[in-house]
This record gives sequence, C-alpha cells and structure tokens, in this order.
Amino acid sequence: MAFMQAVLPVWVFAEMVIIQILLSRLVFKQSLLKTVIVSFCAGLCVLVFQEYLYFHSAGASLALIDAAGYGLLHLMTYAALAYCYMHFINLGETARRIRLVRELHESPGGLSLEQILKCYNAGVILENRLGRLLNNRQIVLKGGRYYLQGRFMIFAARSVLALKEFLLGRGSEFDLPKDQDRS
Amino acid sequence: MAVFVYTLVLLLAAFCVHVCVWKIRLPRNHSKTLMFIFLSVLAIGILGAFVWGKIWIGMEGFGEYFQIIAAYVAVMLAYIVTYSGIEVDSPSLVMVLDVDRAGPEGLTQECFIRDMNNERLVLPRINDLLKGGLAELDNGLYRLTPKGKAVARLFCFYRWLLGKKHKGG
Repeated sequence: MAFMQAVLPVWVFAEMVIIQILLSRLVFKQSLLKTVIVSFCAGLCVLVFQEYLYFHSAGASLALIDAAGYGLLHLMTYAALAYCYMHFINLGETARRIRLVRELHESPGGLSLEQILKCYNAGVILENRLGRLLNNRQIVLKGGRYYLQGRFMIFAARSVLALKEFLLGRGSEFDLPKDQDRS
Repeated sequence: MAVFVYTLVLLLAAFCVHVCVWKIRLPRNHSKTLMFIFLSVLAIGILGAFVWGKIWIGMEGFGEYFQIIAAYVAVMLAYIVTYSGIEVDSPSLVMVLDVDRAGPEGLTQECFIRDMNNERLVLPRINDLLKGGLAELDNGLYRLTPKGKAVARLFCFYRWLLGKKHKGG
C-alpha cells in the first residue's frame, strides 16, 4: 500500500478543515452546523473519488474484498476525525467550561464568583440554548409553550441517557449511583 | 478486509475492557482511564500484528500499521469526546428531554427556569475548572492557571479563525 494512500483520510480531513474555515468566514457566517455538514460532504466526495482512482489504477493486484476493506477503514477514519473536529468547534461555541475559561482570560486580575455569575449565569445559558434549539428547529414555541419538533435531538438525548444509565448507573450527574441510592 | 476487521476487533476489545472496569468500579479520572485502556489495547494489538500480522492479517508494511493506528486513534478520540457528554449533563439535552417528557401539552418557560439554576448549571463547571487545573481560587478570586490560559488562547484563536463574535456558551 502506497504511503499517500495510507494517509488519504488524514489528508482529506485537513482539506475539510480548510473548507469549513473558509465557509464559516465567507458563506455561512451564522450557522456553524451548515459549514460542518457542507465541508464534511465535500471531503467525503474527494475521499470516494480518490479511493476509486487508487483502486482503479491498482487493477487486478488488489482483490475487491481488500479494496472494500481499505475503503471502509478510510471512511471510518475520516468520519471519526470529522466528528472530533465538529465536537472541538462546538466546544468553543457552546461548552460552559470553555465560556468560563474565556471570561477568566478576559480578566487577568481574576474574577469573584459574583462577578462570574454577573456575566455568565443560568439565565444566559438558558437563553443561548433556547435560541439554538429554536433556530435549529429542534423545539418550537406555540402559545407560550415549547413543543418538540426535530427527532434527531430527542434520539441523541435518549441515547446519551441510556449510555449514562448503562455505564455510570445514573441518569444525571446529580443523581447518586444506583448502588449508593439503595444503601 | 482483514486490516479493517482487525481494527474493529481491537476497538471492540478496548470497549469491553472499559465496560468491565466501569462495572467493577468507576475511576476517579474517567477520560485519563479511558485513554489508558484504549492505548494499552492498541499497543498490545500492534505488537500482535507485528509478531503474527503477516500470517493472520496479511500485514505488509508501514502503510497498514499507519492505517490501523490512524483509524483506531480517530475512533478512540471520537468516543472520548462523546463520553465527556455522558459524564456531565448537557443543558440542551436536559431541556430536550424535559420537553419530550411534557408530551403533547408542551412545557412553559417557567418550568425550564425552575430546574435550571446557577447551582446546577454554573457552579459544577467552575469546580471542574479547579479540579482540572485550569483555574485556581486565590483570596476569593478565580484566576486561570498557565494550562487554563493555553486552553483559552487556543479557543479564542479558533473562534477568531472562524469569524465568531458572539460569546456563546
């Protein structure tokens, strides 16, 4: 296997990052999600095309089953790297810890708890999150009440809840684990 | 195909070890323990491939090893970043679950506000900064440590790169 073919998913991922940055600065200035989806699809097209070219040129020296194996491995690597990248830019946008770190960074002399809560508190978090959920049409506001709209977020939320219960034995970080609860 | 299957087997083995360890006892630092488990399994797997790879998997050269390591590390990192969302409650997911539980009657904003307070949303994350060595508390003031400053610079730079002006969070 040629070295360039081996590093293909990493190379395509680097291209995806550049496309995403350009899209975010020049085209979709308001929606990070759109930039990630479009750049991921662009990278995917490049990856599939490059795979096709490589295996076409390899001809009979590479069995179809091996070609499929390498293709799947590259796809898995690229998708996982893209997912990590999406998570990274999402952290910068939505994570509470990162927002707190940035608030402290802007005040080199330090901030008291009261000062922190003045600029970043539950009200701000709620407003930001509600805004994003409404903008992304995950929930909808009708007559002063919120209703579920998109199915993806509820699927994600239920999956995370199921994993939490399976791995940690509790549904929330504020719940006691089941064994401690019983005692 | 053998290289792809071998990578999947290694990932599955690491996940099984992780579940077993978690069922016996929850570790103090989840992410570090996860990283240790996954990297240990990878090291054993690569050693195994080096010794028996040519016969079992048809390993021929550096390219195959690189592909196994790249795919494995990418999926490992993807799992670890997902796990961080399992470890702590994401307010957005909690809100979606609350709306889901409310059913066809919907949920009022007052219900959101009732459960989402500073004690639940902000204070645990400030404590995480202290525990993670990103910030320190000195005379009632929270200040970033050098590690915290590095994290802040990284995210500030990336937000500038993406042209983001809104504070987020």
